[in-house]
Amino acid sequence: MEWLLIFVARLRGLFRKRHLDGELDTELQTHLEMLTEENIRRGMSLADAHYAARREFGGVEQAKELYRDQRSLPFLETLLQDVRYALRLLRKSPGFTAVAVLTLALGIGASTSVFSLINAVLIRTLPYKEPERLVYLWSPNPRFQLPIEYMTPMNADFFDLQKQNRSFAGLALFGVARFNFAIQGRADAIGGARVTEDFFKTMGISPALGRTVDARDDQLGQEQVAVISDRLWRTHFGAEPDILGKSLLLDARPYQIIGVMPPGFGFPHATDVMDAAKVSDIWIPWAMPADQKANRNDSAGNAIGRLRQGVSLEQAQSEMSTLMAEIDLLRPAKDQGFGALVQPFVASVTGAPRRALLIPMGAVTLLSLIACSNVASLAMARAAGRIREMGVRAALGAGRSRLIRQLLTESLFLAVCGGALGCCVAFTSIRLLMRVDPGNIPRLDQASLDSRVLFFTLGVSLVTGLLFGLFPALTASRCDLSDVLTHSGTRSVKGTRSHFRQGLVVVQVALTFVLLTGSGLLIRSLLRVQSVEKGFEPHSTVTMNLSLDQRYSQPDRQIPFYRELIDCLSVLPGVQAAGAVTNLPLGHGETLSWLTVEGYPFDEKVFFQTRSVTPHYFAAMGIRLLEGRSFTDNDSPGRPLVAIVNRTFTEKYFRGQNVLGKRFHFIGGDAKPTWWIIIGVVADVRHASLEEQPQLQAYLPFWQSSASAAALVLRTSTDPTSLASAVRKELSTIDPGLAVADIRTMDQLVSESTAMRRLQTFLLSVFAGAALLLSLVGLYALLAYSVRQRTAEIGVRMALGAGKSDVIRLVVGQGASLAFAGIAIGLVTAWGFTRLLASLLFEVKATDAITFVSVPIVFCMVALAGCYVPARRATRVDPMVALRYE
Amino acid sequence: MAPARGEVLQGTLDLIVLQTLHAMGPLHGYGIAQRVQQVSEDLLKLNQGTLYPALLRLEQRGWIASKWGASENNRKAKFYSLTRAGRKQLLAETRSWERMTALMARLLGGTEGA
Repeated sequence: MEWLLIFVARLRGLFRKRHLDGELDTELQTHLEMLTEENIRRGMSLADAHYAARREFGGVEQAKELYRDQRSLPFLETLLQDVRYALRLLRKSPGFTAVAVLTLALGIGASTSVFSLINAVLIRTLPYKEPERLVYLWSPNPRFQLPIEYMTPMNADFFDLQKQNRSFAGLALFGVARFNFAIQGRADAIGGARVTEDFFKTMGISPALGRTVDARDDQLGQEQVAVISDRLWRTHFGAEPDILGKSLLLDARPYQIIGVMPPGFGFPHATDVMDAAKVSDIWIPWAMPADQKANRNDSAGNAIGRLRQGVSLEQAQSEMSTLMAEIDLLRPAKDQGFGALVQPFVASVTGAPRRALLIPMGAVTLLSLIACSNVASLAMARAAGRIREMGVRAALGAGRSRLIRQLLTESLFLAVCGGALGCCVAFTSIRLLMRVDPGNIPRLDQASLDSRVLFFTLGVSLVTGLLFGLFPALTASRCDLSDVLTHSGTRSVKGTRSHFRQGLVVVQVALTFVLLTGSGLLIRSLLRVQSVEKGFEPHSTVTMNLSLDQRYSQPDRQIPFYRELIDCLSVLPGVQAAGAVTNLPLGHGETLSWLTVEGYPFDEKVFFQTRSVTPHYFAAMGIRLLEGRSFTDNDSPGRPLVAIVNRTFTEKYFRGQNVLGKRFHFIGGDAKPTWWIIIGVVADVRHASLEEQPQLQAYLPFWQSSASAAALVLRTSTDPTSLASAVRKELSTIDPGLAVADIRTMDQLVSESTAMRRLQTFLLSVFAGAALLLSLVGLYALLAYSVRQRTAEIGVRMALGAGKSDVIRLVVGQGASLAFAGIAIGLVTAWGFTRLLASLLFEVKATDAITFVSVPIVFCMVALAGCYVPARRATRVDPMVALRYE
Repeated sequence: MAPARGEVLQGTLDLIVLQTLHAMGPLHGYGIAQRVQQVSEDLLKLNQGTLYPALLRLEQRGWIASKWGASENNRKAKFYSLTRAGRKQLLAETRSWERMTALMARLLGGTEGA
């Protein structure tokens, strides 16, 4: 505590300096006078007494100096002095200050914005207890070439693993679901999950109210209880505290509310597992029937586990592999081949966003470097003009370290100003970024300037300040005294310093070129993606999801329901066509089937995207019929089974043949397969993503292959919102317990599917644009400075007969040679760098000729324009004035 | 600048000043310097100027306090006085010095015969 006391006392000494100095003077003066008086009393003469007093007292100035050092904080005092000096200097050259601070603000602001995204998405902990111990459990099978997300464990395998493992503190199965949720006569479609007993224990989240699902609920007959989210509790129950025990209707069955989760818990989200709703709001016990539990051929849900304390991922993986090797043998030999894969939850949740943010991270680093070098270059130009000042200071006894310290203080001060302004830039740009939020990066919408981000900004500012300040400070402080003091005025000779500055400009141009090329490639990819043949017509198509409850579990209930609904919807005003489909294009749901095409052997590596569609689906979605006929209401149960396939399907199996009348059947155990006859061919549709080549696709009539959940598709000229309320009204007259969800136009789905690419392209382009601006400023500043330095030279040249065009050529030539050097280096660098982008490019090569030709041309033109302005100024040099300038 | 005979250790000077203020009551810088020289019989010769940083140091630590007042000759002078914390410090340091001198006396007793 004592040091604090002393520190405070010294800090106080820092201010009121003048006053304290005065007091000290008085005190010492009094002391001397008293000494003198005493000496006089001893019989000395006045002069002797005075002299003796001084001798006894010792050096007055030394005493003061010691006293002052003791009084305050010498380090801080010098710092303040330097800052004050820096402020005064910067105020004297507002142009330099403004350009430097703005440049730094741009660089630091951009890095801060990107870091705040990274912070929100990758660094802040997930809202689960010890998320690093959470893992997904998959059951891959090398026989199938499917993404891992499809390979959820088979039910019986899962329950065996759950019983036998020793690695997990909890292992649970959850199945995403959409419920028709009704209270007080109002129905809503709400996302949620069926969960086994260990689910909440595994996630490690306690309820805010009541209890969660546990073992007693997870059995048949006991399962009609529900846990709801904080959001649902607020939106539908007015956050009433005595909610427990209240009942609600889910898919027309009554459930009793047993708990409310804390705010922020909504697992599984759309970004966590395939097919989930955007966020989950309701959890019910699974209570899986015994026969389903024992099924080794059905995977009903996703498995999530929590590693036991002290068990590593590798240990869990090796135990699971060992167990699965035995369990796999329990199934018929022809079906075997399933293994186990333990995947860290955090990495799988942050993996995609990490890859997505890599490009902006790289780009912003380059941008910051450009900003740094730009300010360094400016600072060096300024330092060159201050050689005399440095010389005089050195001559008056300032040490080199003192000079460096003062120059560094200046640059750090600039950097901190830039950082403060950069925070404002970041604050605004984060808000702007929210507007282009693709919606599929988890937690991106929570990006903010929290203390970690601000700390980062401070760090970046200081590092930036050192980076751009150190070299100029080192060079400027190294001055040859006699040289500086004997020569005065400006010299026309270019020194090593300007070589270094030219080098900086070349580097800037090269870096900018890399960024421009990268963004050029991404822009071209985006354009390609947007103009890709989608196979459907997204304009004026409204879609919504509907899922029926177990009252409609049989086709003979599903078909009449959908038939009635579609008939009602078709005659709504403004509706041109109405249809239903089991999986929307770009809707993140896919049914993959094995088919045997007549005349071809069965191949288990080939999957077909299959969909059931109502007769007018193709018209509603705008999918072109290429051959044959579409489905009609007559393609119903009891009639011949028919199918429509896509062009890729015909190309692969029936190239050059008449496809109509050909047949296929689904893989199944039947001795006598059920054949489906192809009656038509439609255009290829990009179902999973616009960037994925169309797959083999087959459509079945909904009336012959119905499902309980479907998406309604309406081609309409009216406004989607009013249409949605009309649909809701029709639906509630047919069945008041049902509700539609996710009302979206196909345009929205298309836009969402390219949102991530748009965000990346947008960010990279903004950074490239900023880099272009900065490097032009850098180039311009260098040339303008050099013109000023060479005023005398230009004057002489003009006096000797050089014309305006010669002068322009001189200056532009200097700029152009720098720009060309930069572009040449940039070209080579970009050639290597853009390969890193290869995975993000769509139908554009990393060495795309158009980009690699057009970017340099555009860049050269812009650079030459940037050179022309200082060149014009050079021609206005009056030889007479220039020669007298020295 | 340096003391003529031996270094005046910082701690020693502090202790002397504290003891002086304890014995004499509030004093100005000149008075303290005179008293230090009187007591030490010029054994400790210090430049009186160096007294001031030492006084400031003691004040920053809260051991002494200062107040402007008038000297005997009606000059404006700063008077220093011992604070409660200073008294405690003086006691503690005196004890530690006593222990130290006792130890040294025992150690050197045999060789020099004191």
